[in-house]
Amino acid sequence: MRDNNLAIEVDDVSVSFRHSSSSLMSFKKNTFDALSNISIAVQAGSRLGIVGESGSGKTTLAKTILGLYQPATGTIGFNHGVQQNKDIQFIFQDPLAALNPRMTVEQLITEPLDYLGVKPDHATRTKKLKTIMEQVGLDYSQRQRYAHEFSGGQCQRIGIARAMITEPKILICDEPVSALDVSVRAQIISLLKEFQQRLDLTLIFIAHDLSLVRYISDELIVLYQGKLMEMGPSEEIFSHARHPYTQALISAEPRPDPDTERQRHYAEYGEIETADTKLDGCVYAGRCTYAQSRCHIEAPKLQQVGETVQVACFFPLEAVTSV
Amino acid sequence: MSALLEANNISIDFATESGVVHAVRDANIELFEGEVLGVVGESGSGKTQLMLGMLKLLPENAVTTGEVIYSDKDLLTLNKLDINRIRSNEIAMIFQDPMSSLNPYLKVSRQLTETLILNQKIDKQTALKQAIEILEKVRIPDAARRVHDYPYQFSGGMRQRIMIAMALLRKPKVLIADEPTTALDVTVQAEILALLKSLRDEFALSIILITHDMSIVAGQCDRVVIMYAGQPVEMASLDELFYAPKHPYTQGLLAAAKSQSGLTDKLVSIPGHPPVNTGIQLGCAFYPRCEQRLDVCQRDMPVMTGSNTQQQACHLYER
Amino acid sequence: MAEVKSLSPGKQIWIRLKANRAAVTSMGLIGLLILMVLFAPWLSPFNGEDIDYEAIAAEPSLTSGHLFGTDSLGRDLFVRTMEGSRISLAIGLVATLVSLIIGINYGAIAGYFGGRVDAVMMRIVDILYAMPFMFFVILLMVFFGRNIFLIFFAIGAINWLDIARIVRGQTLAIKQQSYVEAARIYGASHWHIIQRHIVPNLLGIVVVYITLTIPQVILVESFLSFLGLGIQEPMTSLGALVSEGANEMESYSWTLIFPAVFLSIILFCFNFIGDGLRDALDPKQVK
Repeated sequence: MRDNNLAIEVDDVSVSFRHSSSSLMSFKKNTFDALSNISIAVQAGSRLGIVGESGSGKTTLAKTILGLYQPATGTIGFNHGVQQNKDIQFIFQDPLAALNPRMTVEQLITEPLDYLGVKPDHATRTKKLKTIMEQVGLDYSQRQRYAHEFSGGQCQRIGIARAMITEPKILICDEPVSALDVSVRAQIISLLKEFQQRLDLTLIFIAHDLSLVRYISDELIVLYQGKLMEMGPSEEIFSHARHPYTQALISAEPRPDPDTERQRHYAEYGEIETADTKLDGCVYAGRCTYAQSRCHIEAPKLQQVGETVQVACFFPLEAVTSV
Repeated sequence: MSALLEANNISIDFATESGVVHAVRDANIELFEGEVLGVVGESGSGKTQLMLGMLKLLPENAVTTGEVIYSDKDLLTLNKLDINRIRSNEIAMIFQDPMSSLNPYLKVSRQLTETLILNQKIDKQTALKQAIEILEKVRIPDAARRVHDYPYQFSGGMRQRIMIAMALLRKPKVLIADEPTTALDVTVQAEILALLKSLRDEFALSIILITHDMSIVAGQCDRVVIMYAGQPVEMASLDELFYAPKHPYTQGLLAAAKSQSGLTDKLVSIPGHPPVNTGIQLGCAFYPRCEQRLDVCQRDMPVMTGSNTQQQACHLYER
Repeated sequence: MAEVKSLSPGKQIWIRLKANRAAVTSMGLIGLLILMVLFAPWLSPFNGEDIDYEAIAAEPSLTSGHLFGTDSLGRDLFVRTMEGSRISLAIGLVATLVSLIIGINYGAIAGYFGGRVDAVMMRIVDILYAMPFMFFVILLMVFFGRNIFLIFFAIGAINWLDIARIVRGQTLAIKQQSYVEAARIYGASHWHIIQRHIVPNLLGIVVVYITLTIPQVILVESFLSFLGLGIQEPMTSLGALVSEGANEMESYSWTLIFPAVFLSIILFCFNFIGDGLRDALDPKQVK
């Protein structure tokens, strides 16, 4: 890797899955592309947001970076010093499901320490446990309890403690607050932000909509059906969405304000029924309200628009007012 | 105006190994004809349990007390047959996960026509025609062909439409929708919400919309009940609730929701976490998290007070 | 506000199990029975192998000391029933243990690795299933002679197939849980994941299966003994005793009744415990 400031460099990565599970009898392979030709560069110490709906490939991208999936083509490179299986940690969407129900909080949080190569002794373990539990806002006296005795927000704190105890360099959060109560989401976001700033972590934050992500990420990428739609600084994308899909994402989000909602014209966003058919055109063309004939024939490539934003669209929107 | 559906002093207790859990305590709720009532709460607020309890849908370790008045009858005293009749003809319910209500092994056509054939004694052809009609009403494209598909062949949003169609098949008066769009993508959610809105007029529905999302409430409801720890804490018309919230919990929830929608510069939350509903509660359940708490809040449980259109259970407003 | 007690999943199951009267009674009975078969023979003045020439095929009586009477050879039936129960229980426990160790590991490995590994491993199980088990055991006995270890082996070797199938199915489900994925992400080896995250979460279903397998094993052994292929004299098992008793039931009914009652009690108890455990493990199921 040439640029020393890059933490992760995803270069032209495609990931494909087989449709049917393998069996001794069938050798037929039906593949579909969960991700196609994604290239992103993540600066060390930056906060990247990945936004997309279900089927967009956002989680696949995260898991490919983690090494859980092998890219079919392309490469993923890390800054020297970053080891894929040691220095990257992950926060799950459903905090309770990510915690083994038969383990106590102490066992849950300290387990990753066993796989670091050198097993720390008992005293070090206890010290680390105590420190990390304090840092995430858990009561040390509750270390013998089981995950199901905690609320969702507290379970997510346990998940964060487990991820942070190994002192990773990169932290990937997969919709870490979507499953949590509205009143505690901000607590978790600020906790993550705090860790990021204090330890100069590289943070990847996955979300299904744009509203929360802009508080935590400085760079944003928008995925749709495994393809990159738009990429650039969060504030820029949030205030001037240039891709029709990004705009639809922003405008479809309801606002907690009756007056705004009363003026809402429910647009038809269109729903995709099958992702199987391989079209030559833009993947979003079928749902796009601005689609023209060219969009159905040819797939747009990522192009520079303005100074900082890249958009995969033949007809990027001009300074559209969001909301 | 008298209420269409009225629940008085509902309490729901669950007997579990670790003691009795009070899921709902002394809740009063009324639904008026033609309105959309939002019931908002976080996990453990008892919003879903309250609805299930009102329709006698809870498991047997739950004890529901109080009364639920619907067309001069107390639903809680009805026998199985009568309550089933109410549930299939008068008060329909839809859930967050459509697959829980759809049989994955039966074609949609069969699932829709079966109850029609059974209950209305009509032949297969007529029933199928009605099924296709209702699917067209929930705007499933190409309904005449797709009615013969299995549930797994539909996307999440389409399944939710099918479930709504099933609920509306018997032309109910009341529709209880429990987080109907939580599992869906935002763009799909917007469409389902728009659909619900138009169906409300078309079928003259009164709707109870259970949700955790204040943004959905803002666009859908006429009146709102906020629940916390098994109790309604504030009940108000939409505008009063959003523009003049009284209960500190409502205020906190609104502030959090607004900040999460990007309407403010800073992200805010309510400190602490929701309580576990067990044991005997003396004071206000929100006391530990409340930033405006008084001494009295720890000792006495506040009662609902206020105007005709806005009531709250909070000592700050008791005079 | 009253605190909710902190309960581990295991403790919760125990509390629910304790509420089940049939299961608790059964556990008590099994406990009592185990104590009895271990110590009761010493309390009796007689030895299972000794022949009491003064009381051949004697009726049960308190005065003679033959509580359950004697068989046609004059051996004390009480002591023989206790010894038979001991062997039956031992076979039940050991054969179940053997099949558990093989079954859990086999099933967990097949389920965890999935794909080709799973397909091949489970086809092997299918093939073994297709073998006529009884015929197989009878052939073994005829070739190698009757041998208690052979019985353990034979029964264990057939029962692990069921456990492997069940464990594999459960593993496939547990493997999808995000805590397993979490463990992979923070670098746990396959071995660690199976040991720490898969097997402990299998235990619930396995425990139920143990209590249902033990009586099944005891029954298989009894069947073999009844056919004359089981335990060899002078050792005995409940099956062998029932078999002997059945031959003489017209004249000496007690030689059938006592072993048969013991066999039934053991089978009943294990089945009740199994049922109780199954209910306790599934809190959602409401009766």
